[in-house]
Amino acid sequence: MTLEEQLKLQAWLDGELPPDQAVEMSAWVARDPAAADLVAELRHTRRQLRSVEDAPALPETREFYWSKIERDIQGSAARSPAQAESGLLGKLRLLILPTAAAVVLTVVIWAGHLYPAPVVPAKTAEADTPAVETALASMDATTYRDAREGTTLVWFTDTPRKAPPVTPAPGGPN
Amino acid sequence: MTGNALSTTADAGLVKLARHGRLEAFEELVARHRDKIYARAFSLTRNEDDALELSQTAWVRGWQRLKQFQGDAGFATWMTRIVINLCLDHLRRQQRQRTSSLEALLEANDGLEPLLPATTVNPTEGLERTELRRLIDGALGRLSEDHRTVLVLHEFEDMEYKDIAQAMGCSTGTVMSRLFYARRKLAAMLPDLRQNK
Repeated sequence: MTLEEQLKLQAWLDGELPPDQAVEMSAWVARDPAAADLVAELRHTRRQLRSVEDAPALPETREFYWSKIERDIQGSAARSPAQAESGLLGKLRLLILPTAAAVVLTVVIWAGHLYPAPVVPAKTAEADTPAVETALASMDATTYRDAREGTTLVWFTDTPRKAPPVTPAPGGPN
Repeated sequence: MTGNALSTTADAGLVKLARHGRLEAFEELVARHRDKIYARAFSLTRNEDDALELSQTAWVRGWQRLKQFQGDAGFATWMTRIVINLCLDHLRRQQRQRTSSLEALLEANDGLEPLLPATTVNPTEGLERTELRRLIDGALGRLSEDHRTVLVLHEFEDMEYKDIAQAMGCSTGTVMSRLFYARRKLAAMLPDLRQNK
């Protein structure tokens, strides 16, 4: 008897075969003693197993068993709002971080075009020293360049311009 | 509703109350079915501590998913499926942690194992039920996890091959093969256990 035939016998015993194949199997078991022996063994094992399927005693009292479940349920309920908040913050962060990065990148590129970095010889002391310069005082923009790191950053500050001193017009009222 | 009234309420009524946040109704459900849920966890894990923890986790999961319970099957059946899934996940984690084990070797040899002749005698005839239980319990404990899981799901939960295959993440053919070898090994072990008695 091949393994495939044995598995088919088992499927027949478990009621997993379609009706036409089940009829074939019944006939086979009726005429083949080896098949009948195998079916008897499988059936016996199944019957014995099912006869002892009793619930083993739970080693804890009702109160003690429930107390842990209750604690976990209440703990998970207490965590829920916090989780929801952190979830919302997380989603906001997901939006904010790439947006901020894109803005910074745009500014850096724009500044790079507006104020191209001076060509510095590669092996000079300046090449290893970051430089901070006020690019255009009237615009309150400060550029930071680090040739070694290949970084250029521009700060824009929102300070109002100082008004020019008022000089009395000649002949004006005093 | 008092505790006394809860104890006479049907499962469906308790589920309804629990869905509205009534924890005491859920406690009554736990008290009713905790033995079955624990028993299933134990039959799959063969470890009291694991079974206890997994069964309690299953109840917490059940509470959290109570709104998903459709009522097509009984509440106990629904809870049993939850604990079975938790146990299967637990066993998978354990299996991953074992880099080389005897069980893996046995499993790998499934297709090569020489077929035993069918047992023609009844090895457990005349045994007391408690003794039979002890013998079968011991034999189940000696099976590999995969073999025992298939056997438990099929014999104790009446799950069909395709459902077991889905739960265990394997093919129906693998389920058939594992079930067959599990039964044959169990049948072969019982005479040994009887002689050792």
